[in-house]
Amino acid sequence: MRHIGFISAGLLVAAGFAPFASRGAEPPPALFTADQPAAGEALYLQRCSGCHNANLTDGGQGPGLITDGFWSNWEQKSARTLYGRILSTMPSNEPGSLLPGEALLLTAFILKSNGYPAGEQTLETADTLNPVRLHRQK
Amino acid sequence: MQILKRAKSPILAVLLSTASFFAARVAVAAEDGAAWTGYGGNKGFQRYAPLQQIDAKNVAQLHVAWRRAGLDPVLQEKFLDLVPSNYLKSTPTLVNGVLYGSNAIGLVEAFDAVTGATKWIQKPLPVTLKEASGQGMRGVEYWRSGNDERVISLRGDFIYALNAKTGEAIKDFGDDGKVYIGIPTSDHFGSRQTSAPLVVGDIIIIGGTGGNTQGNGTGDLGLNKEAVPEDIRAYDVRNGRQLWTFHVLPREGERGLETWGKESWRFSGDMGNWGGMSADEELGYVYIPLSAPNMAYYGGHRPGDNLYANSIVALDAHTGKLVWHFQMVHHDLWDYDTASPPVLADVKINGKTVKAVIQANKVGYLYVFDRKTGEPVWPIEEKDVPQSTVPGEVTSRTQPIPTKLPPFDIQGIKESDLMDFTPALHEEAKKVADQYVTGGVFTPPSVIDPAEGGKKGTLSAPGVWGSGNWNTGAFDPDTGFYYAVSRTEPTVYGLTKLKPPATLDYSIVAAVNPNAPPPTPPAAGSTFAPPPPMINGMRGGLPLPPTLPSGLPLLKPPYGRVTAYDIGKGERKWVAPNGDDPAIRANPALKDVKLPPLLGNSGRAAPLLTKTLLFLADASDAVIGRAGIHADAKLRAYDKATGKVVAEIPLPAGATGAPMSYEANGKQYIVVPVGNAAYGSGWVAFTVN
Ligand code: HEC
Repeated sequence: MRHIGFISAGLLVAAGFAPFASRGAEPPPALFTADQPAAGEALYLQRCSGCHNANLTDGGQGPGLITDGFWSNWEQKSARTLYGRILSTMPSNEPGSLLPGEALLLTAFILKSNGYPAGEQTLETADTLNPVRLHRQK
Repeated sequence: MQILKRAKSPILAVLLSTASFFAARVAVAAEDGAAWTGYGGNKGFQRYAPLQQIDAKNVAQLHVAWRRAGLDPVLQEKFLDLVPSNYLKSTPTLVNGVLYGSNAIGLVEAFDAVTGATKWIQKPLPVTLKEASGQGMRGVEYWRSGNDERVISLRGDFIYALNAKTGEAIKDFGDDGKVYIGIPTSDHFGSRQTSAPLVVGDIIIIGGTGGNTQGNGTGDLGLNKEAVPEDIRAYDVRNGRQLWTFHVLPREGERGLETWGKESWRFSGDMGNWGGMSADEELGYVYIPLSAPNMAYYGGHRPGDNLYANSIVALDAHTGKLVWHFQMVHHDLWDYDTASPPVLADVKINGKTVKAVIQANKVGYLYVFDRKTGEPVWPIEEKDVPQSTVPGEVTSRTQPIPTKLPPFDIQGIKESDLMDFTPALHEEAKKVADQYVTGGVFTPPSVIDPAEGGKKGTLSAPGVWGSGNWNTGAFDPDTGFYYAVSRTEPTVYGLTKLKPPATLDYSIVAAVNPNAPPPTPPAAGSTFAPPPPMINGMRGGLPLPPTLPSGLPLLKPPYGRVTAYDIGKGERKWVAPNGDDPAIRANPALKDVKLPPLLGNSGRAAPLLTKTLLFLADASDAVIGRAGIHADAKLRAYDKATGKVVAEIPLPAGATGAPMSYEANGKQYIVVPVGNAAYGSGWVAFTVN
C-alpha cells in the first residue's frame, strides 16, 4: 500500500539534481533572450491559443497558464518539468508533435508571460532549466 | 405545435439478418457481478455494478486497499521529460480478476484486481520520448473468442489490439498490431478521441474527431467554415480490416443531404462522437451520440437542420446502416452536442416493459426512445423558438422539447437564476446580466453591439460547458432510476462580423495581442503544416463566463448537481448538490454571509451505481482547470432513493474519471481514477472488511 507515482518528485530524483528556488526577495533569473519568447508566442498562437486562449487565461478547452490555478500547480516545481509537460503532453490533441526546440521556445514564452525577464543568455538547452524552481512573480 | 416523429422506422430486413449474428457472441455476461466489461460498466453504459457488500451500514468504513500510479514508474523513469497530465481519465475494465486501464499517457496497463500489482504494460514502439508522449483515454475494450483474448484501445492516430494475457501486440491485427485511423485534413491535425472504442460482437466501432482544426479553432471555434466530417468507422477485431463507415454528414445521393442548404455539405464538418457509445448486442444495434457542426455558433452558411449533427443515431453494428435517428437540436447555434453516453434501460412503463435508450445532452434534457424503433417513449414536441437577429442566419423555427421529464439543469437565464446570497449581490448580478441578451434555452447568439450600453451578445445556460457531458448518466436496472450529473455555468454567445480571408461571416473571437509576432513557418522536421491561426488580428476564442466584480459566479448554486429520475413513472424525483465549492465559500465578498450548507461543485464528476448506493466523487481541478476541487477531495455515497449523503470518504486527490466497482476474491472493490498537481495521478481502490 505504498504511495507511488509522485510524478514531479520522482522526476527530480530521476534527474539527479537538487533544485534551488528563486526566493521571493531575489530577482527571478533571466533564462532567455528577448527574441525567444517572441518566437514562442508565434508558436503559441498557432498551436496552443485555441484551447488556452490568446492571452493565456483559459480558452475553455484548456486551463489558464498565467492564472491562480496555474500557480497552484506549478509553484516550486522545476522549470524543466514544465518544459517536459509541454513537450510530452501538448498540444493535448497532438502530443509528441512538438520538437524539443519548439517546446523550449514555448516554455520561454510562458515564463515571460508570467513575469520572468529576458536577458543576455540564450536558452539553448533544457538542461539549463533543471535547477530553476518556479516561483510566481507578482 | 406538431408532434414530432423524426425518428425513422426500423429497417426490418437488416435487423433480422444480424440479430442472430450477435446473440452468439456476447463475450461477457453483463449481469456478472465480478465483471466491469467496459468503460461504461457494460455495453448498455449503465455504470452499474450488481454488488451489495458495500452498503449504507459499512460504507463509512471504506479504506484504501491499494493505490497505483497513473503511469508505472518503469516508464516514467526512462524519460526525464515524460511529464504526464494529472488528468487520468481511465475507468478500468475488469475481466477475470484483471483490470485494464489506459494509463496517464494512453498506453494500456493490466493490473491485479486484488493487489493493484502490474501484470503488463503496453510498450511504446519504438521506445522513444516522442512515441511515449501522449494523453490517457477514458477506457479500453476487451474481446475474446476461445483462448484468443484481446484488449482494444485507441491512442492518437491508431487502434491497438493487444494480447490480454501478455500485452504484446497482436501481429495479425492491422500493421503489426495497430491500425491507422487518421482522417486527412489540410492542417494535418491528428485524430483526437477521449472515449473508449466500443466492441460489439467481432466489430470495433470508433468515433472521435479529426476535422476539428480545419475551421481554424481547436475546438468548435474558428474563423473558417470549412471542416471535415468526423465519421463513425468500424473494424474487424480479428484483423483490423475496416468494415464500414457511417457518414455523419450525408454524401451526395444519401438521405439527409437536403438538410444542408447552399450545398454546405460540400465543406462542412465536425459532428464527431466523443461522449461514449452503447450497444444492444441482442438487437445488434449501436447507439451513437453526435456533436455540433462547424462552426457551432453561426450557421448562415449551412441553412437547414444539418443532419446528423446533435443527434443520436442507431446503427446496425454489422453493416453501419442507419436504423433510426433523432436530432435533439436542429441547426445548432449553441454547441449543444449530444455528448453523454446513451444508456440502455429496460423499464416498466404503464405495466409494459419498454426496452429503452435514455439520451442526455447539453440542453439538459433526457430524451427516451424505444431502442428498437426510435419511437419516443413520451411525446417530444416541436415548439416554436426565438429567431436569430444575426444577418444571414436562418434559425430553425422549432426545436424538439420532451413533454415528460423536466430538465436536469437550469435552462436559459432568468432573474431567479441569478446569484442571490444577499440583495446587494443580486443587484450586482442583475447589472452584469443586463449587459447581455437573455431569455429561454434556445435564445440564439447575437452580434456584439460596440455602442456604449450595447449588448455584449447573448448570455445563456446550459451553455457550451454546462449541463450534460461525458460524465452525465447512470441507470439502476433494479429500480428504474436514472441519475443525471451536471454542472451549471452560463456561456456568452457574442458574435463578431468577420472579413475575408476568414470564410465565415460571423464567429466568436478573441482579439490577439496586437504586437504578437506573425505566424512562423514550421521548423525543419516539424510535423505541423502552417495553419493560418489569426485573421485580421483575431482568432476563434470563447470568453469565460462573466462573474461578479468580486469573482463570484453570476448564478446561484448549486454549481454542480445530481438529479434522479424514476424513468418508469416518468418523474424527476430529487436534486442534490454535488459536494461543495470551498473556493467560492472563501471569497472575501461572502464574509458574514450565511450560505447554503452545500454549494455544489462544478467540476465534472461521474456517477457509479451499485445495488445499494450511488457514488459520486469530487472532481479534480485537473479535469477543467477553473473548476473542481484542488485539495481535500471526497468520495460520497448517496442514498439512491432520497439523495441524502450517507458517507464521505477522503480521496488522495479529486476524481479524474468515472469510478467503477467489482468483486474479486469474494470482496467488493471500488476503484477511482484520481489526480492533481500535488499527488500526480493514479487509481485508488477501496474496500471494506
Ligand atoms: C486541444 C486543446 C489544447 C491545446 C491545443 C493545447 N492544450 Fe495545453 N492543455 C489542455 C488541457 C485540456 C489541459 C489540462 C489537461 C491536461 O492536464 O492535459 C492542458 C494543460 C496544459 C498545461 C499544464 C497546465 C497546468 O496548470 O498544469 C500546460 C503548461 C499547457 N497545457 C501548455 C500548452 C502549450 C504550450 C500548448 C501548445 C503547444 C498547448 N498547451 C496546447 C488543452 C490544450
